Amino acid sequence: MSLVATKEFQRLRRIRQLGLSFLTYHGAEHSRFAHSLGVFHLFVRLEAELERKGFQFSEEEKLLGRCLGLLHDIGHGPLSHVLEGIMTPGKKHEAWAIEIITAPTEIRCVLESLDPGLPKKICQVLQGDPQWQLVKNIISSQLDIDRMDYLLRDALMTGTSYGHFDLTRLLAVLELNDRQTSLIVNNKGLMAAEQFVFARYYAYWQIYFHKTTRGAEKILQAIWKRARELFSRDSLPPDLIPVSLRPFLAGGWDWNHYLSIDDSDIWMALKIWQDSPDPILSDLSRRILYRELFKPIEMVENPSVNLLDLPEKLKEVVRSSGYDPEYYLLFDAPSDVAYDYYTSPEEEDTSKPPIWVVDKSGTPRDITKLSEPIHAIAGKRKIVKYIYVPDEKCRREVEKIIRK
Amino acid sequence: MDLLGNYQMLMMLLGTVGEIHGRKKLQKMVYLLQEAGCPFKEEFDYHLFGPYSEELATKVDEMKFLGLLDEKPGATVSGYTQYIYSLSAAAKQYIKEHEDSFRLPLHFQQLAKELARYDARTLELMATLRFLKKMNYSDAEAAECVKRLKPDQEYKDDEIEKSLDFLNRLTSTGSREDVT
Repeated sequence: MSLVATKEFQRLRRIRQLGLSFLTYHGAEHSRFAHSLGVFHLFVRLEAELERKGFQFSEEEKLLGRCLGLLHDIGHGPLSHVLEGIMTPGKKHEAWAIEIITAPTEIRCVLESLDPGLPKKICQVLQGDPQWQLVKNIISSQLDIDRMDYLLRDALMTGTSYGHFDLTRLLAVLELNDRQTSLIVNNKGLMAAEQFVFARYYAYWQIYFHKTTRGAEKILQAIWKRARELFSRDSLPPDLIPVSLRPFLAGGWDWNHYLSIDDSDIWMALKIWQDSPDPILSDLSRRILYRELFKPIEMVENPSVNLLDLPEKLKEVVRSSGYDPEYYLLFDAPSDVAYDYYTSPEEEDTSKPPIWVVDKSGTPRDITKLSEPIHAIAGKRKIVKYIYVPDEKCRREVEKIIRK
Repeated sequence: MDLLGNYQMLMMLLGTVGEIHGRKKLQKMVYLLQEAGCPFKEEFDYHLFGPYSEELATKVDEMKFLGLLDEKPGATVSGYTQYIYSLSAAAKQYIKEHEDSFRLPLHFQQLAKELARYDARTLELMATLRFLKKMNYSDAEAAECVKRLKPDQEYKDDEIEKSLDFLNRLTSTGSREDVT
């Protein structure tokens, strides 16, 4: 399809799907390009599957779904989620997708040649307009093809089998709800759905929330913060300001600037910055380049640790070893991670629909109510908080403070 | 970096209104405050035309974990136990000692208190209408759509009209788009 041949789509070859996960799983080198083709492919497979079951997509829906499969991640920036909202504060990949599709890009040109109203319709789906419920839910919901592709792809490339599930079986047990607005699992498919939910759960804790990966990502965020700080104080020498990144350091960027950058701009910046006269910028850059990462400490729920003094005590640990706590004391929590795993809706809040499985009487029910193992992992959120410090000495001191 | 930084806005909100009954109400209050320009950073999704933030829901659990939030069981609503959320004694103490970082601008304090007086059902209606208005639905179209999308809620015309009035006031005094 000529969408793939556009400049903007080809750029996705240069953006790693999993950001810095390759520091933990060295095989994780795959790109957003591969994943986007994968989602496109799954939409086509799902079309065939649903047609087999008697549902016919309109030509308009088919075109929309296929384009969305390809373009749903078009708005990603360097290293995908790592720097999202940080290089361009307030604007994450979904907002960028809408901009790229409506700006005078090659993508818009191709879309308009297929259907002049297509860019607008795609934006409507991305924004959740009720007229495109089905297509939207197929691309993005608790049971969507985006997840189906990346779980399998990420499992394969990282070499973990946790994210693996039987895709063919899952597609075979999917059908549409009564109003034909979303996918549900038929009565015989409970186990296939369970396997999918477990895959999400394990992939989250093994891959997306892996403490080493997350620690590295936090360091990269600290690097960007330092670079911005130095730039704003005019303390970043001109030869250390990469041309492509200047608009982002300065806080004045547009879609042209955004489409010009990919992972390689970040790597180049790190290589330049490792020799920066600023000790923080150079040290942190080296840590990423040569994998000298911070040490993680897992916080435990501990009412005896006085929350009020804890922030200051932690800063003191790091300070007394000669590090600036602004950059050398880092924290991570699940709410910081772009991925999630399945948890059932809270209370009667219908804004978060569950995964529906048809029970023996023909009624769609929340999978958490039909499956005990799923209830165990989806009934309540597991919370893990990490503290990251630069060396072993700091780590031991933090351990003493929080484990008392 | 700050251990408590992520939770600052939520702590300010709870400090202002005292307690919030149920997670649904909390979700909708944060959404509407955000839409009015209050700098909550949580991302909302729109799966069933009601905004929901997984990030916010997770932060509530993190605040419990850190001992910032008390979660007490309250009434049973539609078969679910509704929980009452308030700041823990430790969090209240922390805010007292760092008052300057925890002061919500006056107009947001007033808005938060006003929103707190509505029940979850009304707030959900407002949130859904707001979402539709952002999709450029007119008042009439949004009213029709919300009844069609959520027939089980049985929204009445007068409550829809009151909610639309409220929203028009909300966004004329400072919408999300106005805040830089």
